[in-house]
Amino acid sequence: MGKRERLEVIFDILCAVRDAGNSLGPTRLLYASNLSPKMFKEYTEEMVVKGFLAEDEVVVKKRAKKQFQLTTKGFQFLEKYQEIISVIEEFGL
Amino acid sequence: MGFNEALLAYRFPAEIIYTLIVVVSCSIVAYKANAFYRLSHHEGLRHFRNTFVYFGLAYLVRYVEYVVLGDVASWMHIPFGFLMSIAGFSLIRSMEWKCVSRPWWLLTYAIAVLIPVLDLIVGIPYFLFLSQIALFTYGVILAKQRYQPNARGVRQVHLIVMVLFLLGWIVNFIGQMLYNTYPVIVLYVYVITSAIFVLFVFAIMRVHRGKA
Repeated sequence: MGKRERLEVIFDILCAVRDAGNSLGPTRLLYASNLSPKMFKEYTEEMVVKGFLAEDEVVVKKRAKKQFQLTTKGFQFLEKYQEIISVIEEFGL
Repeated sequence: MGFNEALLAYRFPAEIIYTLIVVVSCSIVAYKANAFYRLSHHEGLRHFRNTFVYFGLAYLVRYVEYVVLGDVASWMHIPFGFLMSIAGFSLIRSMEWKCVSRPWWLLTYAIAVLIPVLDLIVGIPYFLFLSQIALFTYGVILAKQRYQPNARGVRQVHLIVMVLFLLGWIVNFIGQMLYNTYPVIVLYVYVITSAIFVLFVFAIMRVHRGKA
């Protein structure tokens, strides 16, 4: 498999969260994203800052666990992903 | 009244329609590109959007320069020439954004200022025409290199668009040289230029509707 483009990685991360019922912990998301831990941290931080993902804490067995959730912008990105890719390919961007 | 005389009699209404077509087309493309950019934060889309903002502003300034003021060598040629040049550079940058560093991009701003200043000194916009012809020749080569004849489902309009932009500037240049002997040529230039911008609208609208 060749190197994934940045938008493809974002798409894969968002899909993984959505497919897990819109709530996924960092460990499972790291496995699903197929990224190195360093790259995963960079991507998720960027996606939270840019409003694709939201971080939430849920208490499981008296322990607080971080969970990622899709924001409205995250859902919109998934919906429009094919169109964005088409524009990029059509206009050679 | 012959066909050419009849066309020239309608030069000024044609200018208004031409400006409207180009400015509305640029606004639509910039709006759609902005919507995609806000979702993806893709650098190429940002420069693509900026291209059409610059083109739209350039044609508004052009309208003031050629129609309202009616003086080709007026100081208004500086903002017009700058916006046209920087729009051309932005379109190339939207394709080459991974390779163009900030210092190079700052240099293009300096060149974009220099071009209309030189035109103003000479009194004829040859520098603008020739620089745009050179730029879009490079654009055609770039688009040709990226063109994938076997790509399924993608029309890759960037090659067609680059060729049309290059032809548009060549016809513009010829029109400028032949204007005194054959003034109706400007109207043909308007038709070609309008067609290029309308093609952009159709291309982006078609993608937006998910038909690509």
